[in-house]
Amino acid sequence: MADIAPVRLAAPPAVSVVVPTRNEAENVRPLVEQLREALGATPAEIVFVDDSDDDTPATVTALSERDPDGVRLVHRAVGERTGGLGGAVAAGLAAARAPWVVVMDGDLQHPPETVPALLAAGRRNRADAVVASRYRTPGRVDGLSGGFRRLVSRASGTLAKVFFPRRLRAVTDPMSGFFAVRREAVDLGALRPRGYKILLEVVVRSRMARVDEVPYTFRPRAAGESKASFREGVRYLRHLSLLRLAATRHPVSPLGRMTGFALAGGAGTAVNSAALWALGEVAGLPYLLAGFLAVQVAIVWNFAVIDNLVMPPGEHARHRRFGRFLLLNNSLTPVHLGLLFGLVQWGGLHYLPANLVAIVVVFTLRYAVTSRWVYGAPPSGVVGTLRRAVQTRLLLAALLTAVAFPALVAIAWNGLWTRGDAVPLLIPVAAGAALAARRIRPGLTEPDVHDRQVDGLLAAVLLTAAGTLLALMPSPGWLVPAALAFLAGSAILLVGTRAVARLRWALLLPLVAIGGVMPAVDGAVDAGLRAVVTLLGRPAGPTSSDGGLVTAYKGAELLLPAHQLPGLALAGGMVCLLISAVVIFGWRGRAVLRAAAASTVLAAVTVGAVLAVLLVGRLLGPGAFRIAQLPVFVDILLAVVVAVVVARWSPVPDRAPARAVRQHLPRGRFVLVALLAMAVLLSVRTLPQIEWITAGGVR
Amino acid sequence: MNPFSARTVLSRAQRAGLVVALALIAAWAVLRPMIVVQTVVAVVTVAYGAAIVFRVVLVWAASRGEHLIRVTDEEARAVPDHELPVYTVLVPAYREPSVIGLLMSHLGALEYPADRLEVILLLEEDDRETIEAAARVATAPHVRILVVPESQPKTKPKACNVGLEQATGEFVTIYDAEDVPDPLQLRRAVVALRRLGTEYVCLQAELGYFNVDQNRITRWFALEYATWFRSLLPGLVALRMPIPLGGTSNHFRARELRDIGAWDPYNVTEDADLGIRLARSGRRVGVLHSVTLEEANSDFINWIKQRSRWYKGYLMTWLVHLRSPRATVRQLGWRGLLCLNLFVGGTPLAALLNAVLWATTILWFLDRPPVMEEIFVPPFYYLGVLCLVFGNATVIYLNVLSARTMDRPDLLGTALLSPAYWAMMSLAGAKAAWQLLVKPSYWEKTTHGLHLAKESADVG
Repeated sequence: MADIAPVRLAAPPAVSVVVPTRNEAENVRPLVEQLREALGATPAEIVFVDDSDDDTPATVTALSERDPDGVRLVHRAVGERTGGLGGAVAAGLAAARAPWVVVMDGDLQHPPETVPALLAAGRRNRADAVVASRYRTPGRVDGLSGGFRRLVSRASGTLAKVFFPRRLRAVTDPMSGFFAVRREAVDLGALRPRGYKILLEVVVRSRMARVDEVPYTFRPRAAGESKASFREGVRYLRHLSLLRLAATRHPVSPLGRMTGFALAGGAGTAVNSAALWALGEVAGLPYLLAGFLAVQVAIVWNFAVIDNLVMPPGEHARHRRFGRFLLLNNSLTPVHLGLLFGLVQWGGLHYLPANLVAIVVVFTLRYAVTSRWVYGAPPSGVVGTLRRAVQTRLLLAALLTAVAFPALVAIAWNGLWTRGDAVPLLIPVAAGAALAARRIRPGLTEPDVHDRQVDGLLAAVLLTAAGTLLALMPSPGWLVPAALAFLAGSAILLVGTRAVARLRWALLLPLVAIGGVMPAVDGAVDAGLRAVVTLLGRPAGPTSSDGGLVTAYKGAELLLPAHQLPGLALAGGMVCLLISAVVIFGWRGRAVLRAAAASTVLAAVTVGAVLAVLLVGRLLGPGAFRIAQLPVFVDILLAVVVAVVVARWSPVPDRAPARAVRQHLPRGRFVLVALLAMAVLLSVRTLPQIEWITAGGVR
Repeated sequence: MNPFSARTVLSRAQRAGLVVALALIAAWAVLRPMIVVQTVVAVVTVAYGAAIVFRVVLVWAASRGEHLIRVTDEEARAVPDHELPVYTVLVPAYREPSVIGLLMSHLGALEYPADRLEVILLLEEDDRETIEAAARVATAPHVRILVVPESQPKTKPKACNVGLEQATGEFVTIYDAEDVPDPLQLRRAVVALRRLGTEYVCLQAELGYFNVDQNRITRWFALEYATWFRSLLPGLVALRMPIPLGGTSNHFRARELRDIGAWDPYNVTEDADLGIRLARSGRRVGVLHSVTLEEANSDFINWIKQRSRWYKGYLMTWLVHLRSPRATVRQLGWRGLLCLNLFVGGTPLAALLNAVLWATTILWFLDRPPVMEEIFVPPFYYLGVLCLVFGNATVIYLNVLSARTMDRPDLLGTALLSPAYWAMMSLAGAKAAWQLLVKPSYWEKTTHGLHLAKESADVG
């Protein structure tokens, strides 16, 4: 009679508990006992990943022999201990067989009775990971000795949350070494354990979307020595930065990729311009040759950025990717150079701005070509998303307005270099964009009723008004209303009346830019600024006789003239804040209070900026002072502050209940052509009056 | 075949006349452009002024004496049940699954014996959703669901005609799906029609809104309705002119309604057209003091759609009844003709012209182009200024007056803001004119139940 091997029909484990150990022989047995008690009937396996040099492996092996499926040992010998503690956990994750993996320390500071709670939370909330937190109210930090260490632990947790605010939103203890993860949510290949705090590594590198938390109480150590050391803490910051970089690189979402492409394109434009300037102005090459070379430089730069930071590697080797990229991008280089030639030769533009125009045109063309030819009629993926986005349509409306009113663009541009007598357009436009950004999706109660004829009629009225204003009212003060009428009309045609009605306040904000009402407050605001700046004293010196601010550099006096003070910009920014607050919060005291608080911040920033300008003059001399006092810097600063404040005020749209009906987007192809034609016609009106000021041309 | 059907908007003679007139004007415009423009401006100004004067006269006439037919609650309830006639209520509905449940409770509130009441729900074949919703709630034996077979034109009057064929009642009325009628309205109508005699074949009940305070548009709308039903329609009654009926709560004698051919399925304001046709056949219409509450259109785009349909229908009705001018004059008399031109045709045309005239005014203040001095010949210029100042003041005053008759002093601000409402009317007028040319019989569907979304959002 043959020997029949005992067949064990144990259920596959529902949970794997991974315990990294190092010289903890005396803790192993109690841990196993407590875990079995805590898990009860749940089929489980305990994987010890052991980096010890003492008799810990022997203890585990002894346990394992009695229960080969319940206790397993992964021993890493001296040469194999890569990644320290983190590496050990990664090895344990790789060895685990159950759908849920709990990671905990072997020193009994992590109470095994919390494990079922972790698993339950994970199943209940469909999370990718569940963290056992020391800080969530019922849990307490009893085990960490000393207030200072507790503080360090808390601070490092907060730091991690600063680095990953979205992913760690629900997590109070990102430093925890005690957590459960869904096995299939972990991307083992992406892990680069660095010894410290494997939880962050797992959550960030695996791009987990849902992380939950349960409380527990950290227990005093039973035996053995603690591994948390000061050196580990120092390495922590480096690890965090690397993780942040990794999480930002190669974004997965279409929006993230789009943003990546846009940023790369923006940087590429700058590189192209810089290269053209260097080759044309400094090296003195003929501009067409310089233009060609600059395009090549920009292509290499774009490839480097996109390949390293934006797109995942894909299946082709790097040199092949580069070859394709070069070919595709150079296919339109003749168009680029032809356009450059035409604009310089017949358009009378300097070749640097002409190059900018050519870049924009070629970019648009390439986009159109790839979406039509490469991707075929039903555009998919990023291209389709982009085409169907309301944002794209709004951007188009804004671009068309810029085309139709080049004089306004010139005024806005010139305002960056010299202070005009109006609020810099930049600030209200930034506020308007911030206000519009959060209102693009329709509200839940908004009726889904649209009418193309109403769109057409309203747009006809507005476009006629724009044309009439442009034709009859030559004063530049009427340019903004005319442009707004055009913008509103084209936006109505491109995104529909209802969407524009939702965005109406954002569209109207640029009206603030009309200086007509401002001169009254202008003097007062300037005087206030002056008073505060002089009150703060150094680096500002006394006031000059005509109201300018004076500072000194090596005995020579430097003057910030009165008309260069950013009073109008500040006043305009405050008005924008007030209007935005009223739009967002309604006619309530809260709105005024918020606007007042934000205005105070804005004023403080302005004072700080003026002081900074004076400080630059005092420290670096007249050359730097001349550049620092250009209005563009203060204006951009104020625009950013206003936009950030407005964006923070805006309510976050409900992300969960996606509307059953897709957002209404009217057909816009013919409309676009008609609008473009109209814009070009309108542009003829103001084109001859344009005078561009460049940074160098400042008096 | 109804000779005044809007199946063809312009008859052959009309079309020929229009072409000839346009050709003449064009030829003349080439020779003497300024005179043509001056004449057009003069004609428009006079017509505009006349429409305003007509409105004032209507209000004045309405204010002299009582022209609403009043039946007290006691009188209405005094009729014993067995003396009441069978009453048919037609409820045409299309794509209204959300309001059909409410409709049943509103109709259930009617104080009329169920064995003498016949409710016919007229639903369209392709509208499964509403049919299913109706089948769930329409459980009472006197409620019938009639699915109108798919055929063009798919309009409310076509459905009503189908319903009328099946109706067994001596009296017939129409309610929209979202209406909340006065519970005693049917009894009042019976009492009134019996008291008035056979000369009267139709009573128009007053219409009001249950969601007046939802937003600014509904408040304007309510004021406008108050003007319409408390001042203008009683004025028409007082001056013995034809009354363009409202779309719901018209109570007919069924036999007479069938006699004149019921509703015109091609006209998108079949009710107004029916009012004129009743007048042409020598029958009279009264305004009954009993309010049916409707849902005021609370959304801008939805409002424009609804209003443009009304304006298109009014324009249609106007053109249709000008087909045989001699017959029109003979049947309607000069009063009827005035009403047809200044009220039915005048309302949409004034809305349309308003935009042009306001644009001209603004243009004048912006730029003072010298050509305009030439266009406006002095006497008509002064008339135009009078219209601008006096006319606008009058219309605003009428709205303020309505706020008073509604006993809603809080609507004063809304009344003073009504120029913004006129801008909406102009937009609707332009849409109506465009559609009249492009697709005249298209029924611009109004979405109902928008007040429901708001309420549930407020609660939840």
